[in-house]
Amino acid sequence: MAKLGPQLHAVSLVTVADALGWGNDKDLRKAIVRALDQLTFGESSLLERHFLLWPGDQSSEVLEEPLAQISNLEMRRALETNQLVVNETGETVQDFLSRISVEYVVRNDVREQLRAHQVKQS
Amino acid sequence: MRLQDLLDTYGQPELIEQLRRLQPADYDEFVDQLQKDLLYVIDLIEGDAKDFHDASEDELNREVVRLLRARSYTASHDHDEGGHVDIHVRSRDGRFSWLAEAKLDKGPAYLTSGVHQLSDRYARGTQDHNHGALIVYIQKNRCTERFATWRKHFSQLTADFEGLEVADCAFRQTLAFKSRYVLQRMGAAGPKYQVLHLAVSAFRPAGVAA
Repeated sequence: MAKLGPQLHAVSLVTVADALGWGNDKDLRKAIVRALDQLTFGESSLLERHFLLWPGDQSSEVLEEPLAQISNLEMRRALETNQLVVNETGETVQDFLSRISVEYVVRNDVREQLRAHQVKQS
Repeated sequence: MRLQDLLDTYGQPELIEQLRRLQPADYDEFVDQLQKDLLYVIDLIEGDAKDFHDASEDELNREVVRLLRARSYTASHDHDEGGHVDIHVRSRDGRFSWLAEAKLDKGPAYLTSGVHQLSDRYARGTQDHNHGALIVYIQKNRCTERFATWRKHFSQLTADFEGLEVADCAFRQTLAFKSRYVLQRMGAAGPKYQVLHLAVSAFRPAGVAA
């Protein structure tokens, strides 16, 4: 992590998988997910995991911001039921879930430590 | 990264359980999931009983804590909670806690001291902190009979534990039971403290290599 530098903010599965040359292998992608979760929920927690909800129509516009961040509790309820789905839109649970992305973000305190480490070295 | 990557990795039921551990809706949900996970942890330890048949309480407790941490719990051994409780688990957001005293089966008097430690020294007993456990490591044969002896002994301690109620447990049949009693710290108007008693069989039959 220190090598990635203080500019590091978010870690995506794609960037890690590409860096390791594992991008297209489903089993290796799963291994990366587990590794990222270990870095998130393990004893030495470096990351936070966020669920982000994006607009439904992404066909032509460049997306800048997700619509909302979904909590773990809301995410679970969405997986268990259709509570989060707005019935008026006719959106199915699967449609809704397909609009959610997962982002791993370096924790603020870790980023500060990396920055301090960088300053100390320079 | 898509949500589907998480679903591919864990499967929907396991992801739902992970999310329940990370952010339980309420204390009952926290305790239910923790007890379910504890049974899984015990199952793992019993599966490796040959490695634990002469382990110390500390070694066994550390293993329980290690396995709970691997399931995303904030768990610690010898946590300072008005004294050093054997196993302390709290939700990641700090709202809920659960304590356990864990003892080798050295007979009813020794186990009783464990429940007293839990109740008199460590347990807060307030809302969202009123569940705990006594984990009994049995490193000898005839595990169910030994645990039945403990249940019978404990059930009679009504002078020690005010309002004591003992009940069967839906899971682990003869190797677990539930109890509730008034915590002296809280008094009779407070919620009863609820203790799950769990036996862990760590017996290695003679002739089985370590």
